[in-house]
Amino acid sequence: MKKRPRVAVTGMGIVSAAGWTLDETWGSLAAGRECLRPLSLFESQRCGKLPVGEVTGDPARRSGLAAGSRSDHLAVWAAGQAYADAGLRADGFAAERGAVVLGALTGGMMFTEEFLVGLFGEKRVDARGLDERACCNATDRVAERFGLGGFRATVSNACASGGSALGLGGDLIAAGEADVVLAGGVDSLNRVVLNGFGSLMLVSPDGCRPFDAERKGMSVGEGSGVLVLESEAHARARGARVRAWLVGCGNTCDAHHVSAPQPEGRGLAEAMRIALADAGLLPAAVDYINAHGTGTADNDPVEARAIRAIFGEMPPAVSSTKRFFGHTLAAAGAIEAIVAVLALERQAIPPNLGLRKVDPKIPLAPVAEYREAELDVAMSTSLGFGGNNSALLFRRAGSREAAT
Amino acid sequence: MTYVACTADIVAAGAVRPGPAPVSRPAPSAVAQEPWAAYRLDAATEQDLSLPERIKRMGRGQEMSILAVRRALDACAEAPARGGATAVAVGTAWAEEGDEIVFLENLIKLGEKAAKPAYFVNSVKNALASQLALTFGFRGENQTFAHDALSFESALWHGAHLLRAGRARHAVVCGVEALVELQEMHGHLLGWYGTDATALAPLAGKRAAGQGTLPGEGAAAFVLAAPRVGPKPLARLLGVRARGSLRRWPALRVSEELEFVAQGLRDAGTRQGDIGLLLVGANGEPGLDGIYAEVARGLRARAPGLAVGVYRHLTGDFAVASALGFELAVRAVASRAVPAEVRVVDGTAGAVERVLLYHVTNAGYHSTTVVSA
Repeated sequence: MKKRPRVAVTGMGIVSAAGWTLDETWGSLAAGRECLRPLSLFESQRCGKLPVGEVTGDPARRSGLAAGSRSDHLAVWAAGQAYADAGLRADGFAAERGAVVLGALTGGMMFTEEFLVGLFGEKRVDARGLDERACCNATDRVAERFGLGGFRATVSNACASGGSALGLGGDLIAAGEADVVLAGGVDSLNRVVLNGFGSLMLVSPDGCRPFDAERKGMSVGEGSGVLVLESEAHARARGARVRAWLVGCGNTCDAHHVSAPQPEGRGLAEAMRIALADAGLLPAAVDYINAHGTGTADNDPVEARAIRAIFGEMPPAVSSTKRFFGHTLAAAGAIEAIVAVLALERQAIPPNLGLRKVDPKIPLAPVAEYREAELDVAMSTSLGFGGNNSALLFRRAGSREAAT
Repeated sequence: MTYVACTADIVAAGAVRPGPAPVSRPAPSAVAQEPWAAYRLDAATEQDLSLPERIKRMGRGQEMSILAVRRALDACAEAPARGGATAVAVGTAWAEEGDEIVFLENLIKLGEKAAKPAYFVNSVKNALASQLALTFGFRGENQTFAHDALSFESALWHGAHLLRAGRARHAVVCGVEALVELQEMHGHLLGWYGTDATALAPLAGKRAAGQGTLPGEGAAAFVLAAPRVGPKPLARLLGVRARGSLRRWPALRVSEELEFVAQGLRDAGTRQGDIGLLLVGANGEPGLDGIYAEVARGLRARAPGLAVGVYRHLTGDFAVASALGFELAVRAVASRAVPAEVRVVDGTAGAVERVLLYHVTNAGYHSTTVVSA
């Protein structure tokens, strides 16, 4: 395998239950603020009282889109922040050299539900809403808003989608397919997702507690994270500030079960190994892992085993930030990649909120409290249904190695 | 950074095609009074879907993609290894939307406690790609592209990229779409689909404006290998370029489409004069057929001998029908002859060494793919 040319992260944008901006988000993380709250977006007999990571406020007003799904609004808002953060201008690069790659799962599924409610109720049905249901609409709307006429893809790898989309964005830069890539993920709350995870008995009644001995499951969330990726040459030529380098990416599939991870975490371990090889780094170079850490019975020990398989007896600092955001599905990999980059920038580790006592079956000691730390390399991991695994590696922009 | 075209050897192909003509059936009474027509799998192919794997609960798209891949693997001189050296890339716009609808139907009619987890798991779009991994033991990179008419071409690009980057020894690339009733309702209610169960006649000008196209379904799978590492390939992928235009119908401009095609040829290191067949995704809908006709005319003005062919009279119109078009292109260059079922609407194809596929949609998604002997 060839070493991947490093890719510059020059802009970031985020929205979730933890805030509408990078600063708000980091403020929530640093303060250990509880961001999960009972669902208010729609009525649900089964899930209405469950704590979820719901974005407060009006995404449609923020995005300025005249139409579209909640996912579209969230993605356009996050992409707008990232675009501005990167200092991009429409005349700064050829439209066909600008690409968009977003991970997305549910798109405008609420429009499908609305149509079916009308159909089954034998009411007059309006098919125009069905136009808004496709998960690729968010990607299109981001491309159209920012005039990006190049490669366009929507990656749908379950809960590993966001990480996979960032890896693909890096591929596009490495292959010379694009000069600028807006890459990330988006998903929004809807009845299918809440009841789907509910039917699998995976949802915690009192909020997720990743890696905790008394964890009872996950919390569902929504949001979007978008990063601007550029080649080093392109970023330097336009004098862009580099926030971090995307230096490695690994994607694998367990080929084990349609929804459960391989019990030993072999697939995730292999993704981490590939990401390290991709970056030309040894495991000891990694200072922090932002773990997928959903808080389910299966995920957390599997992830811990994978980390130990790669990093041995002395793994780097680990924390899961899922209790701040809920599990934002296709957005999770992107939101948590942004957290990893912010950790590198701010030289601090966000806490594993909700952790009281580590499950003795989990051979890790997650960071329970916010703390400052010297961080040079950070990893972000994602796992999804179908056995999809993703591992991303970021390096601090100012590090001596990054400067060479 | 300069662009390097993604090339790959295509060592095997397999397809699951709809029957040769559209079939008619009653429409849901809540939506339409007239019968609907669509290209669907025929009875024999439906029978072939009865795989041993069917004992598990699978969606129709999963069954179709497994059958397509199995057919490709059966034709493979050197089968891809199980394990991490084989990647999977699937293009599908709607994946198992049928299962998603069943899940929602239960919620709506029976209440939230009636939610069935199997339908939820299948409703996740990577259920197809991960089922391929599970069935065939492919543990390499596993990617699902769900972006309308860009889905298959993005998967093809990704598969070739993984090989070039040394991240896989083989890539199994599949385009698959299973037609579900909701999609038919959507298309009929918005006037995209006609009701006439006669076969589409792309670029023949036979369907009247507003008569629409017809929906379809199918799957095609390809085993890709890095150039020159295996036995003689069926064909070689020289380049694939998939983009979302910033224009939509009716604002699409022929001049920009011609430039897009020219760039696709340049990316693939191919001159237009080397193309033996231009295979286009015209779907019989007069508006879009008009764009295809003008682009074909523009290209023929530069190379008068260029033969122009269509294939959607075989497949109907769906987001990844281009995968079935690509399978025809692979067969064309493998046999140096245009497959009999391809309809050549302009020019005369001789010994076909290279095929250019061109697709454009109302939403402005466009792609070029060049495949060579």
